[in-house]
Amino acid sequence: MTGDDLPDSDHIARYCSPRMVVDGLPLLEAFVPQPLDVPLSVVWVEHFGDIRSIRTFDDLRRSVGTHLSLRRNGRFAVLNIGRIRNAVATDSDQPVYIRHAPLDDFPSHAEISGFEHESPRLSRALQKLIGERDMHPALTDGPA
Amino acid sequence: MTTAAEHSSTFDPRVNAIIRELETRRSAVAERVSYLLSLDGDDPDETPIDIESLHSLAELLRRNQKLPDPRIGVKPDGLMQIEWFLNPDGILALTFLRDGLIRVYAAFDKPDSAAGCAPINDTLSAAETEAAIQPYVRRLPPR
Repeated sequence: MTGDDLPDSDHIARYCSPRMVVDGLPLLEAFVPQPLDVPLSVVWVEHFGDIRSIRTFDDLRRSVGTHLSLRRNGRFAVLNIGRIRNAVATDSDQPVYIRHAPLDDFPSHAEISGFEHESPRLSRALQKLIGERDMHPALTDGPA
Repeated sequence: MTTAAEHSSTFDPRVNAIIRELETRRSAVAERVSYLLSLDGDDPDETPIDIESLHSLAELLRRNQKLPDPRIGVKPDGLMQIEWFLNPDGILALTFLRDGLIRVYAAFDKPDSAAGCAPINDTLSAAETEAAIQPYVRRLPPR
């Protein structure tokens, strides 16, 4: 699926460090691409299996943990791809692209681009979709 | 839970002064900042909190006592960010840059909620920021 659009039924996850989470919810800045993070880097959840399976998140945590320093008070913000596309379509006539963009050592890597992906508008569109139940502990055990 | 005062015993003297000032009027903000400071050095991918950025944040809150306590975070590059959710739906977010300037983003999610509030996506001085956000401040919940 290299470079392919991911299906509406699937989900992406974005790691939010403890510095970017307040009362269990992400700050706007959690979805702003950083200089080495453009387009917005996310993880394709279904790469690891069925989203309803605990094992899927265990595998996702293990994989992302080899690239980022996950912390117990960090969270994965998990969003359905169809919800993102619908939200952006409501806000704008610009398209949003959510594509599988595997890296050599990070096969679940995906990207969100289009729709002013370097402006806070996309960040806000993502932030307002997130509720507490969309936030998953980055670690089930380990450093705070 | 560790208090701001307990956290602050290990911080830079300038940081301690900022926290002491915050504690006098905004104890929840002091707690949150102390917690964020305690995370410094925890993640090798994240830069410790920038003291100039923190100072700018504290100064803005000191000058604007009527502002409710914001949600507070730190960007990976160490810059402080604060935000408030607007009533009904929208956001006012400020990022405090190292040179004293402030990156401002303010917008309502639906244009028909925005009466009198033009979207802002700009980098401004502190004084310009305080003037620019006034229409939005009126749409924040009272402190």
